[in-house]
Amino acid sequence: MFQSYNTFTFDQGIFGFFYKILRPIEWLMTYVMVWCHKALTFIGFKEGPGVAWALSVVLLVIIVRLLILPLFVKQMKSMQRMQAIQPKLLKIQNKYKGKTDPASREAMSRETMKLYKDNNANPASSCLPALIQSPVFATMFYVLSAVPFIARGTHEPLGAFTKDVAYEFEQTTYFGLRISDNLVTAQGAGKIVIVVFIALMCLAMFYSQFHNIRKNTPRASMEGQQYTMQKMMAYIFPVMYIFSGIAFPFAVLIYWLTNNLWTLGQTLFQVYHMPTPGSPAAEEKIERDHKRENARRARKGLPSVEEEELSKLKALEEVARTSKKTSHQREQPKRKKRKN
Amino acid sequence: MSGAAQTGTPTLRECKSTVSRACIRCLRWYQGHISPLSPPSCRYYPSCSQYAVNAVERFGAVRGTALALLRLLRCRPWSPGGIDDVPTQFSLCYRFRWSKAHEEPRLHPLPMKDMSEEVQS
Repeated sequence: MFQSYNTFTFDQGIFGFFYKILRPIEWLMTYVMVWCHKALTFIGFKEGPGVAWALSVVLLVIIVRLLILPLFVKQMKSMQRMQAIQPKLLKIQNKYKGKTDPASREAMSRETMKLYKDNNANPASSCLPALIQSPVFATMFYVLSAVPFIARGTHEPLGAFTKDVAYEFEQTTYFGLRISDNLVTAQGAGKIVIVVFIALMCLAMFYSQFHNIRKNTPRASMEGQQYTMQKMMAYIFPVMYIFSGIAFPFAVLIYWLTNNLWTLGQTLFQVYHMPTPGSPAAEEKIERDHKRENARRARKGLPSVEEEELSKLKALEEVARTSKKTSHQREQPKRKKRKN
Repeated sequence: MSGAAQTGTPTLRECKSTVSRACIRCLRWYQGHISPLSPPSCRYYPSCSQYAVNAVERFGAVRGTALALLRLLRCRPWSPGGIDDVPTQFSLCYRFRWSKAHEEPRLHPLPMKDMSEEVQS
């Protein structure tokens, strides 16, 4: 797509301005990639053009995702605290049950927010993580697309990507593909590899969204226009990525596939271990925990949870029957003796 | 006794400048078209976009935008979140307790003065 021109599309107009601002991140990113490559050749990968360059792209993704991992951990901890305040949350929801006028909706939101704040639990993580990730992604796209231009000398060297390094990177072939190839320029088997990559990428993305919406949404919010819209987005976004995937160079596809697989893994982990309270996944988790507890007790020869509850109830009944003092009936008032 | 009357800020529709009306229209468009695509993610109530609308309505385009930008910076992971209304008196430091414009978080919203004024006029 860009290869036939000597001018780099992203250096012109609004894109050029945008990427000038992002120059420090671009600079850092090239160094990270070159360092990764050095580390890989140090542990025995072939120097020069080779698979180590593809792996350094993968390592770049891993580094970026590790940097924002604390956010994920924080979210999980917040989810745990959410579990603890669930009864109070239900109380608020019951208080405003069936009231749809804006005033009570607002009062409900305010009370919920106050509860979150008082307990230091907030299910939302603000829009900042997404805002941070998008320039990083845009930068990566720029850097990887610029490589062929640097190699040809039509673009000035970018950070650690000097002309030689870029040439080496560009000459690398994986599965008979160069990193700058896209679906249009790829030949023969390379086309199939790219199609497979795009398909995997879209599938990973679709499934992580679909899984999150289906399993990790509280049943209470599983209706209404917003839910429908979110579900629609889960279907539409991957389709949009199919089209953009066609134009993207192979290196970007590697980055993207790794990124989506990581997201998928995180989603699966979160939904399994720390689901949103009130969601189908949370119900499954309660059932699973219950079964696990029973299995543990069975191994130790202890009575199961149900048996224990039953025996407790029986004991209570027994006590109530034998002793009159614990009778539920109110004691009749007795006449006081009058002094006469 | 409304907040607008205290500060003397024009809240009537006619008094709003074209710029602030354009801002509000942009924000409403965002709320209608972009925001529903992702699950609610604001750590504050009202959400950042609603806060921006309120701020621009109350204080005009420039000061409203300044407040909204500060709010966006505040709405991040590690921030406590909670109820955060637009102050009735303009101050960039209203979140601090020492500020004159500081208000305790309200569990009940102020009466909607804009609407009542419009009805009266």
